Amino acid sequence: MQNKKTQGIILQNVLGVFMNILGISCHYHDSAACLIRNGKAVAAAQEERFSRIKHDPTFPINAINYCLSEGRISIDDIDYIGFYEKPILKFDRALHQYLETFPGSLWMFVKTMPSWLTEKLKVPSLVRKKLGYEGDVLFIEHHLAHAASAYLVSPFKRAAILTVDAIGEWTSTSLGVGEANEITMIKEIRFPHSLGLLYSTVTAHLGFRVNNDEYKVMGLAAYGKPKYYEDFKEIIDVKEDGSYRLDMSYFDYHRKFHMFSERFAEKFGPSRTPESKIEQRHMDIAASLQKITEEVLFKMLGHLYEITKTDSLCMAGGVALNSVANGKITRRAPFKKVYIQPASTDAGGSMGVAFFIYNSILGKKRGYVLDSPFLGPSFSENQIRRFLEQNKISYHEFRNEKEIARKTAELIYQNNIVGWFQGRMEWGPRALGNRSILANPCNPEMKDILNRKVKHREWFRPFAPVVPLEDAQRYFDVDIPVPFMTMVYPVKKEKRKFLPSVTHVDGSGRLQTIERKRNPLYYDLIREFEKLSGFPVLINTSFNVRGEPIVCSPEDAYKCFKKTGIDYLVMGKFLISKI
Amino acid sequence: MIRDRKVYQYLLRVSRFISSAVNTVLLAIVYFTGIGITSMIGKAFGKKFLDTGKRDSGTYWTECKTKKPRESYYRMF
Repeated sequence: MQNKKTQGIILQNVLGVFMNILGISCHYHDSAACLIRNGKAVAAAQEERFSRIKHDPTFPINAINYCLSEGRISIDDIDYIGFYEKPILKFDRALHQYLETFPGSLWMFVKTMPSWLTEKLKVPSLVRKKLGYEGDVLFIEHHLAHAASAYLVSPFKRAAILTVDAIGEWTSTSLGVGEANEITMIKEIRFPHSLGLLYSTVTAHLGFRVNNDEYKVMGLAAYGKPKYYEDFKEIIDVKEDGSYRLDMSYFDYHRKFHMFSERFAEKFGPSRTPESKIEQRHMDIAASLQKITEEVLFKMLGHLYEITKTDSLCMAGGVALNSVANGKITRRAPFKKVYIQPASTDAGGSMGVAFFIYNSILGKKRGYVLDSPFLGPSFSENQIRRFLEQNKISYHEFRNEKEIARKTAELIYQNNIVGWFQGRMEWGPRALGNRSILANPCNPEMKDILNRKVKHREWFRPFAPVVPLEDAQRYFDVDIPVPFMTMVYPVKKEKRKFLPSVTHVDGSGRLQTIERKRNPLYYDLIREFEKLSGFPVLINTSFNVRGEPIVCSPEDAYKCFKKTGIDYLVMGKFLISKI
Repeated sequence: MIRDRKVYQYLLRVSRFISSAVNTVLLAIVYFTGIGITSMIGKAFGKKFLDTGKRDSGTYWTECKTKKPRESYYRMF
């Protein structure tokens, strides 16, 4: 039985009123899909949330099916499919790697070639086979997809664009400018020179996982002193215009499945074994890396400003998730306004290519700003109730949203850890108030309690605060809204003692600012907590356990709740207690 | 039924192993004949396939190519 809205959508699709574009990113890490309709994002999600495999790189069939179902359409209603990079250009780079490093690249060739031949070079046939799609598949370059993912959904009519990641086809860093519907890429730095791969190399050397744990290195940096800064200066030559070049004798990533060379280990000492003790040396290496990364970024931003002469900046790519550097942009670079979209890694490429097709290739006017990250699946009250009853889970049903906010705030104030599952799932790697674990930031023990009972993560990693936008400047030295938790700012000195569990060792916090119009229930919960504690701040950490993706469905949330020390689970209007 | 499934799983593993071994041998042959010969000839003529050497210049930025025609978006390159 179709409801009126569904019937309306079907009718308008038949009449050709809607233009539906599906963006896809996959095959490396964080595969994702995004559906836009008439230039507005309808749905976007990463495959990992459905497959439950963190950073799942496979063809995002579940994410695509979700997007189609959210849009109430079938694959026949899709006008264009866009892919977030140019596979043959990437293969060209891989061939150059094999040729340059022959015979050392034998193993790399043997291991990677089957996936090139069966999947990566066969995107159109893969799309046809998996989706039954008969239309055109369009391809844009990886860094152009990154640039589009930030600029075309930003609030700016003209903006400078910086994209920095590990590697696309050949490009690792690019400067560009966006004006109305057009994006012009101006300059680039090409493989094997890559700031992202430098960061990943140190991540590997410090015993963490590449393409997964770079943010841990960033967190660790706060505990160290940049004693290895001069050593880093020897392996990366940085010019005043922010361009850089790596001394490749310190790296192995261009010839094998290993990031750093023996020479790197001689300079920085032996690599850390995963899960082994973290020493001061490791912290100092992380701090030095963070310092050199910021130096390169701010020189690039200075140069970008000189070229573009605009005070608005859009950033994308994995390095754009370096929230410590991002928090310094408005102070250390000439830009006054900054937009970093919530999924600025490869997942965001799916959104970038979809908007690029609509706005830049087809020339349709821009009319959408991505100011809310809630583009993922939601579950109705009936669906949640059915899940609870089918599984014989006892629950309390709140009367209304006011009671949800008041009661949950009480639980948090009483130092309970609350799993918070509401509305549509977030787009991007951060939980921003719909798939979150919430706790009391005023309790100095809460960081340890959360780590011991739920997250089981490294001791040095901080927890993030969420604060209403209008109160942000009372608690943080923040100068612009941070709705997607992409920037770190200092906690005001006089407030640090009141918010010990969200204040990092260097006095900073990776905050999220929240406006009531974006998420009323979440906002009201914070206000209710303020009535009890005197502080409109909560700990907001992602609703998952270490090594797993953030929860997507009520079933995922309940499983996570059961196997961790979360005290209460609030799903929609239902309260589930463990106590 | 269970025994059949176990046999099937075992045969599947064996077939995967054979397939992987054959792939490895064939790809190694392709590697040494295709990649190897091209690489050696290229290097003999001073060709650099990757920009890994040391050089110092005023800037390391390279200019991006100008705007591409619409048809280029229909290609994988």
